[in-house]
Amino acid sequence: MRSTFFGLELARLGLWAQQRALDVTGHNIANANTEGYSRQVARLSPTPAYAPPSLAMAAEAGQVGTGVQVAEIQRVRDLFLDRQARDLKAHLGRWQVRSQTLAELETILGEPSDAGLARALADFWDALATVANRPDSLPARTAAIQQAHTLLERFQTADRQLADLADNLDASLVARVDRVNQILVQMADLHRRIRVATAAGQTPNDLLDERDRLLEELGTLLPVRVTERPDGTVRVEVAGLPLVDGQVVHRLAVQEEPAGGAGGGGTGSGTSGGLVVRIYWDGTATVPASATPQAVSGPGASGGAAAAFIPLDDTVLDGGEIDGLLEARDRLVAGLRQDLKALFFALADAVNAVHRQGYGLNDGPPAGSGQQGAGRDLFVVGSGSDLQQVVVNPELDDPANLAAAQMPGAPGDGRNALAMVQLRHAPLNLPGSPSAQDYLESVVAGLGIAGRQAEEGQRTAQLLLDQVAAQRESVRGVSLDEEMTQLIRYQHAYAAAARLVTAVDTMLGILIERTGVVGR
Amino acid sequence: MRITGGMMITTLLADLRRAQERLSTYQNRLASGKQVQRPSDDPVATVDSLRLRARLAEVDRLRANAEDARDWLEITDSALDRATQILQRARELAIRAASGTLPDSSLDAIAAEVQQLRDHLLEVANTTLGDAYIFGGLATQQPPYVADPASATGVAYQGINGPVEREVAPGTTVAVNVPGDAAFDPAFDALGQMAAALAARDLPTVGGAVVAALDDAIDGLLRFRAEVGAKVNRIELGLYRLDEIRIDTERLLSGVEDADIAETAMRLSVSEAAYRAALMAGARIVQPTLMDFLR
Repeated sequence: MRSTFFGLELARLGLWAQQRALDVTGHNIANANTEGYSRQVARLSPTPAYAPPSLAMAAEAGQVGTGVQVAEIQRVRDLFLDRQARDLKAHLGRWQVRSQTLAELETILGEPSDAGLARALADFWDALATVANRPDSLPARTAAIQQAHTLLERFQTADRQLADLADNLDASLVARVDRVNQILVQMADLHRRIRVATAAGQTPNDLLDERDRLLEELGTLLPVRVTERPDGTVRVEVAGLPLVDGQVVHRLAVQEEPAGGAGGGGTGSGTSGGLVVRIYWDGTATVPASATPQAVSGPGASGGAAAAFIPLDDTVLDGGEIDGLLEARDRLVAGLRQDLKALFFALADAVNAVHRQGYGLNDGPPAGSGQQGAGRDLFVVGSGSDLQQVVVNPELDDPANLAAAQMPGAPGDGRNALAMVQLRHAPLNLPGSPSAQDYLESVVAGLGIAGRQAEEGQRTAQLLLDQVAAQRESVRGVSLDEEMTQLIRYQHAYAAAARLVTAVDTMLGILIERTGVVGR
Repeated sequence: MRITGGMMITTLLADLRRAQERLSTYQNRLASGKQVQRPSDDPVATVDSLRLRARLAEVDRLRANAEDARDWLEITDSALDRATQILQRARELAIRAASGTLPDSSLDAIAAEVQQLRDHLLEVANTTLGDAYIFGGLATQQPPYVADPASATGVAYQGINGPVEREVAPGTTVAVNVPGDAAFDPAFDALGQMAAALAARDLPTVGGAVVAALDDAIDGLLRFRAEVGAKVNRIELGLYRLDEIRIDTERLLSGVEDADIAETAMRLSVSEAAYRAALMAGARIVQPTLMDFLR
């Protein structure tokens, strides 16, 4: 048997549910511009009908609905699009770093222009040619030696700029690893709160949004794989290694190591001396007590004997800014540095070989028989692996010592200088036996092609991301028009439910005040 | 598809960004006048430009070499010409002296003139280009001939023979110098004989052996002049060819590097219009919402 006040209760449920739905709408409107916010929808469902089926029931028509309740406040999201967006952001991050680095490399190389390496090389040949024509002219000799200094300096400056760039990339790496660790700790903390809420039967939508926002940021840094767990937490892996799983965190560690040493790294990371930053996955699982980020420690620092430190390099990672930075440092920057170094040393070797065969203005015939030339180098290359150690032979501070002649004591003999000039088309001792100009051209072409590829890669990734972002926004974004419509809808429903109270009240009023007055 | 305000703003921003990128590309091209500013703009064109610039530098150098070689050869030619005239004058004098009709005083005058001619020939043999002696071979810093009373000819050669080379085409060198001793020794020798024969009043020798020696010396000089002339011709041709290469290279380089101003300006204004349109569309799209129509 229904209660007399059944209708009031029903109206109360209606009022209450519409009000909650209105609140959800209000929350959506308030967060219309919140980064990473997913719109929420109050899913209404009828409360269990009266009365439950029973054999002992009085014959009465059907069941009677008892009202409405907010069954769930749903977060509108498409997990597939989320994953796509994350992957694309990782790609975009890598291409962006690549493209930026290549742009800097192009600036360092400075081609095509009248101030690049190619120009310095051409000027060097030209100054030597002047000496070949005027071997007895001291000003011509001085000019050629100055040009040798200029050529060397151009190479050294480029080399130094590349080393600085590698250092900057290292600093960026450390900053990004720090940020990864911060995010991991924040995620563990969020997971704790999400678990508590989920255990209490709630859906912590805003915490989940915050978690997803962090995940996305993590996704731009590292190529993460994300597995959702039923309790609302996620397991995040990179290259098969867990970073965060529920409240358990594996931090990343950085350590400065000698370049080209153990710990992998790219093939081109053969920088001479110097320290480079390497990244390790810390096998020690920790449960951070709070969201306060802790200092990043190196593999040696934590001292856990059993803890495994697994190196993460650009062969393991595939995407993300950290991968981009590693690749930029170990392949692009180190590669160009290596190329320039190889070119200079091959060139210096060839020039020296000819220069040694020649004579300066004051050189007599060689002492030993069967010997040819004064045996003087033009470039003193030192160990032959470090550009910064190379100098123009200090003996050439006296321009008479430039070995322009093939015959001792013949001031008008410029044949050795001419032989040096003719090296401009001679094959150098480099793979493929290119001339210096050919080699420089191929380096510039390689850089240009890589730069163009990176720009296109970036553009494509950006375009795809824009599309996915639009699709995602289409699913989860707040449409104010839609929310306004909902507002009116719930407002009307609320008003109607209130009217229902009035109606029931009037009904009851009739029952209580106007009945039983017959014959009074 | 469900459209939200955020989406429209994101799309609008992306469109504006792209339009601005295009605008700035064309603006840069127009301002710099260059089509290629960085290798990644066009890797192939960059390499072409590097190669063409290197070729230009090389062509300029070869032209300078060839012009220098031409100067050297022309000075050589004119020196040899003067030497020939000197010897021809000596020959005339020898023939006049040998006629046997001249009084002693005239023969003395001829002997004095021969002395003058020898001094003159010494000057010619020590011709310089700039401050380099051109007949000294590889010894360009000292006069190739010095007066030497001890020798029969009255002069001594102190040059170092060897080719003075100029690279006039890639890998091709031309020896521009004429070995001084080969060119001038017979001349000094003939003049020496003539002076000696005149002093001895040995007129038959003056008319016979001396004239023959002078003829041989003149022939020798002419042979060198022919060689020099041939080299000058060859270098002139080479210079003409280098000029052609230079013009071609300049043209190619301009085609590779320089922006087509008219086309770029047109593209610039097209992308400007596109940018304006995007801005205008943005201003229209973003404005109205349902709120404007609710009371």
